[in-house]
Amino acid sequence: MRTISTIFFAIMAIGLIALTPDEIIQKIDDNERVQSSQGTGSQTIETSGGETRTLEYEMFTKDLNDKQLTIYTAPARIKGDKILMLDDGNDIYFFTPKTGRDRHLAGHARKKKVQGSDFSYEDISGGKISDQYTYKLLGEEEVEGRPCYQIELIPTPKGPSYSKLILWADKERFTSIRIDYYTDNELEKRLICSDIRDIDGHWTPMKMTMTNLLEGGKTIMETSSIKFGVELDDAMFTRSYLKRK
Amino acid sequence: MRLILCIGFMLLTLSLVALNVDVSGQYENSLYPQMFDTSMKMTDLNKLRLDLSGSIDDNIDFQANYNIELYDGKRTILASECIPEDVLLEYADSMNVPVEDLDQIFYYKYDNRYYLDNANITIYWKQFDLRVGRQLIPWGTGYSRNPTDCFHQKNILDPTYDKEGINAFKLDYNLDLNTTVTAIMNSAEDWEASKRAIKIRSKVLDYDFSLSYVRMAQASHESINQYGSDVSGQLFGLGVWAEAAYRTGNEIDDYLQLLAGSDYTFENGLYFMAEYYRNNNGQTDRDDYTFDDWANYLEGTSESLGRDYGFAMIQYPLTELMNGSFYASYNLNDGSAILYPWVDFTLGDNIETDIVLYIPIGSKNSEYGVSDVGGLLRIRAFF
Repeated sequence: MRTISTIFFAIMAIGLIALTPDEIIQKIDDNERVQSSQGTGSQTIETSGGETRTLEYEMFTKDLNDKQLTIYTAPARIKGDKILMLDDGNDIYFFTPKTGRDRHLAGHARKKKVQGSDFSYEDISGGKISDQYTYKLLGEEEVEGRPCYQIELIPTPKGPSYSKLILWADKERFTSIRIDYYTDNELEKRLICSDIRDIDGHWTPMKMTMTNLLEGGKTIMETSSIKFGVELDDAMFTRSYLKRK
Repeated sequence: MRLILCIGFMLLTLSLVALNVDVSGQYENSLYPQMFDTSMKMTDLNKLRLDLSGSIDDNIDFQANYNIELYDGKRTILASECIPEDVLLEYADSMNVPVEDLDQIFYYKYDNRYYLDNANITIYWKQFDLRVGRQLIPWGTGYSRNPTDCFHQKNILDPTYDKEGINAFKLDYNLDLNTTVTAIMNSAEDWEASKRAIKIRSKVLDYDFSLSYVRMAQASHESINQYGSDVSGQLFGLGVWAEAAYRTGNEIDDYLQLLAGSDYTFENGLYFMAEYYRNNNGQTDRDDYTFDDWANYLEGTSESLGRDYGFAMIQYPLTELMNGSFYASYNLNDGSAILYPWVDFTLGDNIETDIVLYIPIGSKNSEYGVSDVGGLLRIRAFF
């Protein structure tokens, strides 16, 4: 019996090791891209000077993250600001109730910081890894106490503006554990995903910490509540909806 | 009396909380230092805005804000302080009055104000949204100016500052996810004097595009028709937008206003924006600016003094919580310009601060050169 078990686990192990980079990326996409979601969370911005600002938001996604709507709920200074991302973040609208006006941000604006945080619009936009990057498996490494695949991602013209990313993805859960972002081959930012929970069959990081290694600040994004597979009307992801209360 | 007021306020607050009404607001102090010849004068604005909003049910929202504006310091701007001397002399001569008397006739006074704004109710149906009451009608894609927007005035020296709403009925009909038809009636004393508008907005080849028509009326009730269009999108990696409005009527010379702009964010976070604006109703030579041109421009009844303008802005994040910007508006016809370096930063989660220096360049009889150096120190606390 022990021999059978040993053989079984050996086959399993070989099976895991034998995953091709395409299969690994597909599994990460399958885990991280959900049909729809609704959640609340906060962003705590810690500046290099030691000051902090905390923003709270509601977030809705649909069609495998192709459509995203973020509504800021606190502090009062930015309450009611909304960010609508369509077409995997290629179309971004920023609405503020102060002017009642939405602005269509062009592709170059994807590099801009979202509400002064260390996350840029392109960092939080959706999109399939296989569409946005070419990739290469660099090896395996333990990160944050989890066995990970180490994968190099080179953005395609559809991808973000970074020169490359190094992704550490959990070998068993197929979720991102750490991402290093390089600009002009210089390490600019590091994302660490933690407090990873199984929610409706998707391994989901409840806490993401983005550290800007060049500027010295960091932003902690914490999810307070999240539901997957919720029914969301397409009308929510339109410019008309931005003007609603 | 004070006790009764306190109790009344507490009861009102408790009632609003019980009704699930969201109460928020902001306090603002704005200090406007301005050089007049050799002395610096200051105007100080204390503004309190109390916002109420809520939902009656899933399909009905309401909102309103009450504003208190209290001015201090220099509260009157005289004609001689904002209109070139040669224009005043010519006008006084034509009117056969001493030029000194014009300051008694033409001046702008900052009066304390107490007013209800953006008080409206919105009803949502599957494809229709109806909003009734005081509201913003944010038309146009331009940043410094919006030629198609005949409902609000924009101050080029502070383009994103809060604007006042107008009384209107606004009906949005969502034809599909990208296409909306909007009909607006801006109420006035009688039907003939009301502004009526219709706009269709859609997406064409990845560009947001709109066509609009507005019927306005002059004091004589003669109508002015405005045909407008705006577009925004991306071209060769640059953000691009444009706006055009053509006005025609029996009592005015038909004229076209046009605005085109572009922006780009560089790898290091530096943001650059530029706009060109043309108003065929404007003058091409500063010697042609009349007293009426100046008066209409200062009152906001005309869009510009000159015909052609360039506007540019660069912005760079100095720290995570502070942006440094540099704005410039250039009147291409009279050669005057105004440069305004601007620093904005947050002092806390709910405190926003702006520090601006306005530096006019040009001769004393030009649009921007007529003013001296000024500034703005503004702090806003949100609650």
